Amino acid sequence: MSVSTPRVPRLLVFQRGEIAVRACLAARALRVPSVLFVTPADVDSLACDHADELYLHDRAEARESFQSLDALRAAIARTGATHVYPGYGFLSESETLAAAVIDAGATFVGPDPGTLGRLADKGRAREFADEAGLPHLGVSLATVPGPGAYPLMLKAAAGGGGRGNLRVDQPGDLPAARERLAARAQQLFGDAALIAERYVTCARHVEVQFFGFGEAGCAVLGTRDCSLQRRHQKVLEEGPASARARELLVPLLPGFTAALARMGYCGAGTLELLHDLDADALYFMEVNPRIQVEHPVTECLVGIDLVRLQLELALGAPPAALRARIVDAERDTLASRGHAIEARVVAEDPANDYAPETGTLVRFELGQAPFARWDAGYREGARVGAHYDGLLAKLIVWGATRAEALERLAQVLDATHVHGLRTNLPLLRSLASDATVLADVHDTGTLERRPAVIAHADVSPLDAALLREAWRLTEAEGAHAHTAQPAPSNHPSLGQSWKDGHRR
Amino acid sequence: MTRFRTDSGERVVATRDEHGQLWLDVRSLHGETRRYGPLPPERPEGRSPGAGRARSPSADTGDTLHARTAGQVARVHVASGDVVTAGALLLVMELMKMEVELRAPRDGRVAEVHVAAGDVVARAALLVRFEPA
Repeated sequence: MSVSTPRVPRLLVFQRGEIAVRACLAARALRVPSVLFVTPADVDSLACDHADELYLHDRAEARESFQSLDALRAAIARTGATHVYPGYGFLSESETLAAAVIDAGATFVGPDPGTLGRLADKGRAREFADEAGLPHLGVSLATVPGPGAYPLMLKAAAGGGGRGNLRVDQPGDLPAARERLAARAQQLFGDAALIAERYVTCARHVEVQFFGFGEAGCAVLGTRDCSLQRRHQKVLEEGPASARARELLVPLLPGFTAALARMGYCGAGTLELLHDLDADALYFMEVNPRIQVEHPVTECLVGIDLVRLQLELALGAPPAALRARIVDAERDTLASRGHAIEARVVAEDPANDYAPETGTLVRFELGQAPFARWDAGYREGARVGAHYDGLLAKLIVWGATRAEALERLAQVLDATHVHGLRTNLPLLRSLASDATVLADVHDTGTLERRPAVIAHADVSPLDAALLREAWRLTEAEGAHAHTAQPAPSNHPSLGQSWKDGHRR
Repeated sequence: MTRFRTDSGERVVATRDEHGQLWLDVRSLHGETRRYGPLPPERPEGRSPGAGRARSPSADTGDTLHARTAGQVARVHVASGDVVTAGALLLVMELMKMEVELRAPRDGRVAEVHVAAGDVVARAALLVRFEPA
């Protein structure tokens, strides 16, 4: 291979699910061939339909595939990819992954490794917040925090997603808690370092979607509110954030975008903040230097394909021209049109503590309405296994007002039907018409404080004749049942789930 | 997937999954949808939908420990031959981003450990078998 000739672009999509679909669609729009990294668990996924080529990896376990640098290096070498799209989750914001891509002679679609390293570690991210002039909840552990600092939250510096968090209510509990969490952090993340934050009791989760154009500066594309969470997993996300949160943001943004511009930040990113409702103040939580699951909320509000924009920048479009084209004077503010809401449809059992569900999507009908968009990773008939998270699809609705968007959300969810495994649709439907949600007075703890159990299926009596008829008419479909085991076997080896996916 | 209409005008969509279980959506004339399933395949006649809920087949008899949900084994704390007391930590499963500790249901000796750290297991998979100490 000649080093001097610029190579024809070829995108390796090192990702799965709905975001892999988005990457393939964006590549198609830009006339760049896409090669999808596929594991045996995903051979009948929707992304396979949209990729120009498939690269079949032989292992499905996350650790042996999407979390393996060796798997990535082999894929780049064998596909001749010039660019790698990381998406979200797995190693998408890993400094070592970005460095491995560059070492392999390809371009990482995202910020440079140094930027990722600086923002991923919670301790170092706090330094960034100081530099950007963003208030944060950090409590120094260098000295013993005084009584006024409690309750405080101990966190693993290298952790994420709520794992390795411990609440400490009084000074006397701190030494034991530190010892316990440090051991746990070492075990979980290979790093015993801890940080501490003041614990906020009543808060909203506020986000700022931004996009960095390197030397051409950083643009703010709007806000989101993701306060409806269950165990630190977002359930409903909406935009824009509350008027009060946006008001509090205005003085903070110039310092923030200037700090990113000084880093030469390239690509999509999200600033996460906590709106402490008692103190009526915003506090920095973290910067996620990647695309986020809920980015379509912003796409609907400002009319920009963020995934395509990520690719265009990485493919070498002049940053200043790109910025000028997509961010006009009107967009580069916190004003946006109407209201957008995203609901995550997840394979999990609401009545069994939201335990992950596996199975085959024998019915997968996604409801329709004007201004409703589905970003799905599966199609009907596909098998959903236990190797990855259970996100099946995202519904994004737009409305001229928040009330209109919620009404539309309820309507589309009611017309959405999934058979073959249990999902969180009952929870989503209940939230779409929930009085607290409608009144917009919920906070990040609202879902946790509620009784956890939501029935998955209806309990009202079913007509015996109707039931007999349903059994009779579906008898042919049930033919497979005699060959399949009702209970999953132990040791579902990789080969097993692979075959299951094909048998269908 | 089968669609049909009842005599009273309800629209029904019925499917069977790979285990032969029945899933139903029943849409009334007023446009309200009731959803049922999974209804287990055995003895369909005369079953009330409430009773038809297929619970996970994880009734631990005390001699075996099964996975309550699908997930990944994070750590295994025992090996075959270990003598454990009731409540001893046997293994840790990782589900989504949570860790769940599985403990010994009673005193006994670990006869076999069927999984290792990193294994992805299906719901109801056999994890550990015990024998009297």
